[in-house]
Amino acid sequence: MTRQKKIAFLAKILPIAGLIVILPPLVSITNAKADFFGFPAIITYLFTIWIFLIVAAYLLQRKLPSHTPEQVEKQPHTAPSSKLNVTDHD
Amino acid sequence: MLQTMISGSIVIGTSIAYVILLFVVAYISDLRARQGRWKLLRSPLIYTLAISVYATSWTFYGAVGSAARNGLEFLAIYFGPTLVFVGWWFGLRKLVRIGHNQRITSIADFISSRFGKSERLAILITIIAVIGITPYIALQLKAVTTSLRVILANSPAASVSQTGDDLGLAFAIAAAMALFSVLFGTRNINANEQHHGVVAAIAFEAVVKFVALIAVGLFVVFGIGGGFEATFARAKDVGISLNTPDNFGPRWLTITILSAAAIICLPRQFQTTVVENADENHLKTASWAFPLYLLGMSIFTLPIAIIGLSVLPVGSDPDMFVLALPLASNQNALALFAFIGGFSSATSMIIIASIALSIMISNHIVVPIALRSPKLFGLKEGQGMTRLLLTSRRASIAATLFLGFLYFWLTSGSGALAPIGLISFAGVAQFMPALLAALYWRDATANGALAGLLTGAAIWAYSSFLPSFAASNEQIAQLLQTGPWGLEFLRPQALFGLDNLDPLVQSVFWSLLGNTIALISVSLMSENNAIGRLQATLFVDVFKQNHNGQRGFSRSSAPLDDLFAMTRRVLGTERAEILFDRFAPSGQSRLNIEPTPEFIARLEKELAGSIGAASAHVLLGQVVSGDTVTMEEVMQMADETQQILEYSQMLEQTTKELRSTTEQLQRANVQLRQLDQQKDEFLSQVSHEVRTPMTAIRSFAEILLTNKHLNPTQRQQFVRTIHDESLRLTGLLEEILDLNALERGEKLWSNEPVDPNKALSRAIEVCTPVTNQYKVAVQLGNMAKNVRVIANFDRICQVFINLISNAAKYNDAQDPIVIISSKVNGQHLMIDFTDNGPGISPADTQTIFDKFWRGARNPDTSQSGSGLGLAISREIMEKMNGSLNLINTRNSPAEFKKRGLKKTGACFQVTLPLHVE
Repeated sequence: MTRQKKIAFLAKILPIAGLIVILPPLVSITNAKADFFGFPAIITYLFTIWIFLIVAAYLLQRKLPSHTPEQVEKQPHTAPSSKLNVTDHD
Repeated sequence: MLQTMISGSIVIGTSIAYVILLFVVAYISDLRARQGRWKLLRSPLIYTLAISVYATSWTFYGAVGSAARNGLEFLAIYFGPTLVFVGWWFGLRKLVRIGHNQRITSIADFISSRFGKSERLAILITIIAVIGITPYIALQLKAVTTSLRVILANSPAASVSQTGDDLGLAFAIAAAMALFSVLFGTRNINANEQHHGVVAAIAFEAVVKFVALIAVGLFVVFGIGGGFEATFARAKDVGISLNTPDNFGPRWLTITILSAAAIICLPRQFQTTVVENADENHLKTASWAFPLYLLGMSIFTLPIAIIGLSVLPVGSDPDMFVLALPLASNQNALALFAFIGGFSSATSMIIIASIALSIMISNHIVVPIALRSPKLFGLKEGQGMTRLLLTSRRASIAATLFLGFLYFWLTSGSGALAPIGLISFAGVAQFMPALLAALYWRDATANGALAGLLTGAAIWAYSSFLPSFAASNEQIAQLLQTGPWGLEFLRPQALFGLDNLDPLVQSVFWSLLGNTIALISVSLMSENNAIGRLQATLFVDVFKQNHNGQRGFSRSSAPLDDLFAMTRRVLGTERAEILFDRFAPSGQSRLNIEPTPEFIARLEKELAGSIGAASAHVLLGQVVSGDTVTMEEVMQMADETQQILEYSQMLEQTTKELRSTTEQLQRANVQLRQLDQQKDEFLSQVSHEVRTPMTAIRSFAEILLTNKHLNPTQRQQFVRTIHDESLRLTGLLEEILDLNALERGEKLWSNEPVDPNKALSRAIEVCTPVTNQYKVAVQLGNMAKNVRVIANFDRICQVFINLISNAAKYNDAQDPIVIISSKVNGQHLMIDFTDNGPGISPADTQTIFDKFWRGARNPDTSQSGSGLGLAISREIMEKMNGSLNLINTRNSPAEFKKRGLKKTGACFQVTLPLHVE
């Protein structure tokens, strides 16, 4: 896997990983009666995940390629056929 | 606690001033947009803030209420969207790309475009959206109404009961909002349905509500609660249980899924995320900034709920804690700010939602009807539709808000904010299966989507929407209790008798299950029409195409192997190789080609010549960007063309085979003719050879018969001649038979270890009469001793005799001599027979082993043999895995020099395999 592919893969897997860690049984582990510097452990856990996801998304989006759109000529949205200009060949 | 009142005029005045401020923001933004000063308006920040319209008064007020009642459940509402945005690369990016390419105007437009621009689908989605959003708008009305009353009466407890005044207030608010949205959203009709002024105002509102909530949160936690630690310490006392395992049960998962679906499917979210998107790269910022915004909005939710429960009087509405807590602490300014924050969150939602819905209603319901019956709408030939669109949108906005008010009225008094919002979420979540199928499943059909949406929406309406009227409607309450016609297992909130499961979980599960099953099964049973198939490709494979006239592929990562494999599939191996070789750098193989855009463009043209431009482009596009479509799929696409090509190649192959068969036959024919000629020649030679002695025999016999007066001596002589000639004839015939048998592979003998010297002396002995007759000396040179060869003794003697007698017969030297020598060479024994005769002329070296060849220079032909000797000898040698050759004798062999002889004649070499013991 190239570096670019790895990053794209991570970007795809990030939400899945995020979903898994907020669901039982993982979330149940921290759903204990313990406190963490005055914060309930479960609050700490969920907000830490949240922050981690945000940081991960921030880092990933910097590495992911930007989309360079083609020059879209402004054309009025009139006929539905204008949406089908993909197939005609120049 | 002494409390000062905030006068109504101040509240109303501030609200109006705020709305005017919004107008100014929107106006300036539109002005800037018209002047082409896009920079700020089209910034990723504005985009992200506009998406934050997700945080409505439900978030602002309702989340605290939800936290006070259900603990951490409110977080699920934000985790869903967080996951969707964090995973933007997978889903949202595709959605936005298609939105741009297809110039999508709404979620109804999106789904119907994908499924062959199905009108029915667009209408159905619009209707579901309108019904689904109605509770959501009612929620905003309720929140604003309640908050207004709380801040005016300064009594959080009072909101529990609802008075007739509330309805009037709500109606007034709804009317004001309608006016507001009409003025904002329908001032002009934009080609791509982007509303820069509105978006700017929404972004501004996002900042206001964020700052207001943070301000309240900071005040509550540090002003009242004494820090986070102290605040959370109160949690147990007020009965918020953070540690119950129920927190993360099915309801937690359901709400996470629902909110994830809602962030895309809610018409206003689709509007801000997809339709209003100016640049796909803005998603990059939104991917982390929007979750961050949600995080900020949620930090203080739980602390506010805890403090509210512990400070405010029992029975206070938890949905109003955000407002009630500053009021209770006499922080009137903060309370007013909080009110404005809640107001802004409600207005932003209502504006965008009503605009989004009005676009859907006018585009998918009003316009199609108007186009069918123009007279009804006063449309004249050639007249633009702008007026009609504007009017219908304004009417739609008013109608939408009125429906919201109606729902608010009919469900008056029914509970908290969050459950109402979840009903909406569950409603729009019905779009999710169709949307996912639109993005990722090529074979999903319009009928499938229609069936799925109908099924899902029906189950939702029955199990979620209908029960929300129970509080104000006796019959519906009755229905919830006993089920329709007394059928208990059909009770809306306990379908199939599932009493224990949460009603929301049930409703979402059954509706989405029914939706998905109907979508899949009907899709499998139906087929997409042509436009549906095309659109399916354009949607599902959006990353593999290039739109808007630019046909060239940008710098690609296309593996050359894949390109070559695909080209071979389309053009056939031979042409593909030629094509690729043409592009190969000089002197290098075609595997060294750089897949440059030029190369790919050239390749596309070549392919287009075979399978058409569109197919070539799609095909190549799939290989070049090589994203989710596997090579197998591409190959399948190529297969139709390939089958034809294969067929023609098959024909070509058959033709080629026929041609080669014909050639083979011709060659065989030539060979046969040659053989026939050889046979004829052989027969003529044989008959010639046979005729000579036969003529002699016949003529002498005739003389003997007719001439009775011959003396006995003459008679004796004639009879001897006849006898000699008969012997010669017999010998000749025997040799012919012998050769024939050898050539046919008959007369096999067994080879065994033989002493070659013994065979040689036997042969010399047999040849003595001949050698004596010609006075030829036979001498032995260096002989290999004690060797044995694999041969047949009699046959090897026959060869030796033939060679010695030939050397004797054709030697015309003064002192004729034959020298025989042998030596071991590797696994073979080589025996040379060298004479000092005339030798064989170079022209004859090839022919001496032919049948009936005789030395041309021999004067005494009558004494010569049959001319078959060498041919037979060579045949025998080959049968013994040896060989017989005439070798070059230009240099006098050592044996000759020893004897002082200068001239050498012919030298025949016999090679025999050695016997290895």
